[in-house]
Amino acid sequence: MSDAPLLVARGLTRHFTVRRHPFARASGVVRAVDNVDLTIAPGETLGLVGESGCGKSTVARLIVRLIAPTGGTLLFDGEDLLALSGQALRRRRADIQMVFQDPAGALDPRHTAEEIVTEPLEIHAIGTRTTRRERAEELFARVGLRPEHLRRYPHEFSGGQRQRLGIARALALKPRLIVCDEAVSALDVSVQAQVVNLFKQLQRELGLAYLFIAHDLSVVRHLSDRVAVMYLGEVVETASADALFASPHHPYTQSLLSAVPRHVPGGRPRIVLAGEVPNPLAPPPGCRFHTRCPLAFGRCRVEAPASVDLGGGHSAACHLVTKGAPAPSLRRTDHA
Amino acid sequence: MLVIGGLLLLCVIAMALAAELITPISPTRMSMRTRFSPPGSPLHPLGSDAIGRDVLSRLVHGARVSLRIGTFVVLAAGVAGTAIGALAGYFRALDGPLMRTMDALMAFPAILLAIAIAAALGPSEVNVVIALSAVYAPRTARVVRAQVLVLRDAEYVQAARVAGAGDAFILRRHILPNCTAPLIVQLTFVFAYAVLAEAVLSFLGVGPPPPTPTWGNMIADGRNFIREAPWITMMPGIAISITVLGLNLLGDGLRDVLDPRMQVAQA
Repeated sequence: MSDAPLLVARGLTRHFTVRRHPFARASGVVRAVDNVDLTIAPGETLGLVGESGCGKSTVARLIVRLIAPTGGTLLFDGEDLLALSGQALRRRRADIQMVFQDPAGALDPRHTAEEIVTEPLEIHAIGTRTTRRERAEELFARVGLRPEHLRRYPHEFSGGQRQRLGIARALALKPRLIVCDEAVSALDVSVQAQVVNLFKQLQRELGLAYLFIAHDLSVVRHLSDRVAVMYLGEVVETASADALFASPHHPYTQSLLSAVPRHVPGGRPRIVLAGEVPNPLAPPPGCRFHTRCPLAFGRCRVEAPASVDLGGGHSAACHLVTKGAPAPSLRRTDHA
Repeated sequence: MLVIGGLLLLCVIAMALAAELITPISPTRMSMRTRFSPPGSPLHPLGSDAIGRDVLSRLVHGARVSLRIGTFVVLAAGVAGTAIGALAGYFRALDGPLMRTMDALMAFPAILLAIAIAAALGPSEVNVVIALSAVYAPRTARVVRAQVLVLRDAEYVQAARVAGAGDAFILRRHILPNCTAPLIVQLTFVFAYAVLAEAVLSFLGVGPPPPTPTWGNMIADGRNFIREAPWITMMPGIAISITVLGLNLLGDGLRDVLDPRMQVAQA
């Protein structure tokens, strides 16, 4: 899993300019995604977690090229994605597909299941009507839908079936990376488990890589090889799923993980953060997390921490983190 | 509402199609001996006008003119409005220039603008269609633009884009088909306004020129005799009311049926 990476994002940045009216000068810049580095190996699942509004979905949209980044580089299979345009971009798009959050909203209500699943083939002018139908049947079988469903309309499916339909469409072009933006968040828990297992099964069978974006940490843990944690447009910690859940280093990751419900009575107490996520129009100077970090000290307010490599692919961006030392503990409050 | 409106409209359409069957008398044939025949006369079931023309015949032939003009206005305003609305809604750079032009056209009261254009072009059926299309295309464009603005951010549009679809494909396959419901409702109302406005233009003398039997011409011809022979103006007046009422009921009914929230309830 660790040969040449499939996708490399370096310093990926997307700023949105805010104007009060069309002729006004920019009144502010939302740093939705700021200097994000991500690497995904072939066949690997990278989980991306964080609170609402931290920029997870913007990262997804940047990688599938729905929106253009304002900075940084994006390499797929060694090729610069951002330099592509026109036909070359269209061809490359087949390699990176997306599964959306809202299974109903992602399917055109006026199209049949067959039209939805074969649309990507039609766009790329692959095959004839007959071979496309065969491919649709094959895709249906793969995602656990029955061939007689091909003529149905989206509203005739259940939520889980709709998401399977969305997955079948994403698979149509034989992609190597699928970006799942909260792909199971809108589903019932029982259906969620089935769809998560479908994702795993497809990965085994087709060697897919996933960028799996979610706010549900238990789902991410179940599915991911590695996990990146985002806060306010920045990646604060990256590690293998096991390492991250076993020994989170960044104070934000620690508080985020403490929010996962546990079955053990009297398990570790929750770390409740004070305040709210700062306005991304005016992110705090220094470390962006310092306004809510129980461990923040003087340096955090002025200097943004660099990412510290902790070995084994684990890195965290915090002044209190040093290689070889135990993670800063939020139980002690004498730092604050 | 839908059924009543539809039935009223069907009656008017049947009347227009079967004009020759309903009355063999030519709508322009004059008869000085039977001027001002009241309704119920053996020769003129709905009476005759000041120069002895049959009111029923003029009424059913007038329905043809009204429906023809309405149809062409709906087609022209529909095509132009959809194109402008879709471009303005989809391509943000075009939104300002296109919609401000539409706003400028809509700043004039509809009927005043129609009169001005029809008067400038001269009285003829084609010119009435042009004038009314120019008036109702911006209103249609606004409806379509609003719908396109919602649809362009739909996840299924994003999904198509991720799959590599171009703008033309997305507009054709996803956006325009999903605009049809509000468009049909809007065009039903445009039809109703067009029928009414055609009568107004004819009445004012900028519609199809006089011997042509139109409802507006009939009212204009009869207005000097409204005390002595009220049927000459009343009959076309009733015809206009029924047609416009039918179309409005139909439009309201369609709006309820095609409402997306209703579709969710049914699904």
